[in-house]
Amino acid sequence: MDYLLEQALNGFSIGAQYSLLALGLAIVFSVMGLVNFAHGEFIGVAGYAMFAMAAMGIANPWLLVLFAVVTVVVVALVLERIAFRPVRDAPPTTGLLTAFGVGIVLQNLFLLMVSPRPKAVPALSVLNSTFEVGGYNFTILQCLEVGVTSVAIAALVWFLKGTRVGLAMRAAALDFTTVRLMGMRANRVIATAFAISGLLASIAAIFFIARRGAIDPFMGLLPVLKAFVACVLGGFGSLPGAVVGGLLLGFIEVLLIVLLPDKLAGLRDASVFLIVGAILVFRPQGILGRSVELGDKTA
Amino acid sequence: MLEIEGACINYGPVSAVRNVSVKVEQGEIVALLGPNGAGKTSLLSAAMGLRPLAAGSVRFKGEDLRKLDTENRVRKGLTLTPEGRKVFANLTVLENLELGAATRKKGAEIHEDMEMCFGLFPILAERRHQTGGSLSGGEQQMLAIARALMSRPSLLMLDEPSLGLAPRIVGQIFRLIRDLRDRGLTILLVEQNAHEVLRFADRAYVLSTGECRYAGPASRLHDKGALMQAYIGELVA
Repeated sequence: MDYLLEQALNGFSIGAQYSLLALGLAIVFSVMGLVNFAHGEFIGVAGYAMFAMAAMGIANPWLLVLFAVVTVVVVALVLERIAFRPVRDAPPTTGLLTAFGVGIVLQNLFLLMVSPRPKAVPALSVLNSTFEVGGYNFTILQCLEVGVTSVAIAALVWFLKGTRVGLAMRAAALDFTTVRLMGMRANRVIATAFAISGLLASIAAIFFIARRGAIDPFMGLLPVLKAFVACVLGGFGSLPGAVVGGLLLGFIEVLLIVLLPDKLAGLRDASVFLIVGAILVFRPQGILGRSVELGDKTA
Repeated sequence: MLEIEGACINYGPVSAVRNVSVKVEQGEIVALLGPNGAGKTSLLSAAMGLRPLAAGSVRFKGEDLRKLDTENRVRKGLTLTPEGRKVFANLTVLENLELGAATRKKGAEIHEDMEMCFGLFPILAERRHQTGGSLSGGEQQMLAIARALMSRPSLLMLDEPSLGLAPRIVGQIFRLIRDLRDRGLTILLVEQNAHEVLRFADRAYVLSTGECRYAGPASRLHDKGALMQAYIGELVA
């Protein structure tokens, strides 16, 4: 029973990271139809921002976290302005290639400016200390992951329901042209989407880095892939779908860690994707995705 | 108020509108008529800045609009209720109206205007917490018009407001359009339902295959023969 509870919390905290990343992908996708594969590099940006600060002698973990979050949001806004805005009206493949290009440029910047090898970022290791409540052991990190992710999602829901830009973002997911007809500035809506995606990614990045204690130039590749899978699993473009998909992916992963014998540990990611594939066979539109009718003039 | 002059609009190599001029004066209802594919919607899109003009000019209250994007044209008092209504299906009626007021400062005035809209369309007040997608076609058209009014426009452009609606609802929508004109709004109305519209429009333009076939008083088209000739024949005016 204890074991089950522990593993459930594990699944939840890993799933929370995927959810945050998947939400960022889904928000940008829903307003501009772009799958931002450079999203994973936000993790790298957060990591190297903290590394740079630590190298300058700043050790306070809260300051590092704050600096990482601000840096990622600023980088997200700058990328939107200089890389994605110029190709906004281009065919979707152009946006996709731009995203890959941006990702490669960032990875190589980390590689050239710091090092191709992993670097330690130990400042957040305090988060890995455990505490005991009623006979159960938790790490601070796990509780933060669950708590902060819940707060972030609640704040996002408030933003999307309670503010005009939020309303516009929801409306733009279905019909951006009509949102512009209301006089809503397209640039503002899209820049806000990027800022939010950066903010959510930076939170995920901090958890990710706290777990690993190290950074490397290509650390964003696997997480962005998982986030993409989470989006597909939940229903692409659906924000609740991204959360559900991320959590489910986390649970499936932890379940496989527990169930797969050590000899087969190497097959873990492959098994995860196999299960995801099987779910999609039965529900191709994703768990919360709606099947879309194609070919209608008013659609 | 609105002056479109010598407008040409292309879709790639295809020319959709050739050298069309349309003028709308303060307080008028102007009907833009013509069969499918005549270029009516393209012309409205160009007026809103959603489509580029290959040639020609658009002026609104004497100001050249060509350098302004869609968002800023709305701020000048121009608004378009697009073809197919395009209410935000995933947003509630209230949220749709709130977005309609996107160009204005938040505050009490917006709530007053919402109440005004609910006065015009009592059914929307009843459905204020329902999503746009759950409304009937007629209710969606009412919501689309109400949403457009929330920006406090001086010129309202309506693209096929009667499309797909039951005759009784169409009558209701047309009555409302006249009411809005009596309240001081200027209206440019695209319709296929020519006979009905000509009864209350001040002036009319007939477009066919991208060219202007008639420009003049709506009353001159009351006669069926004249209308037919404008649609399929040579220039009458």
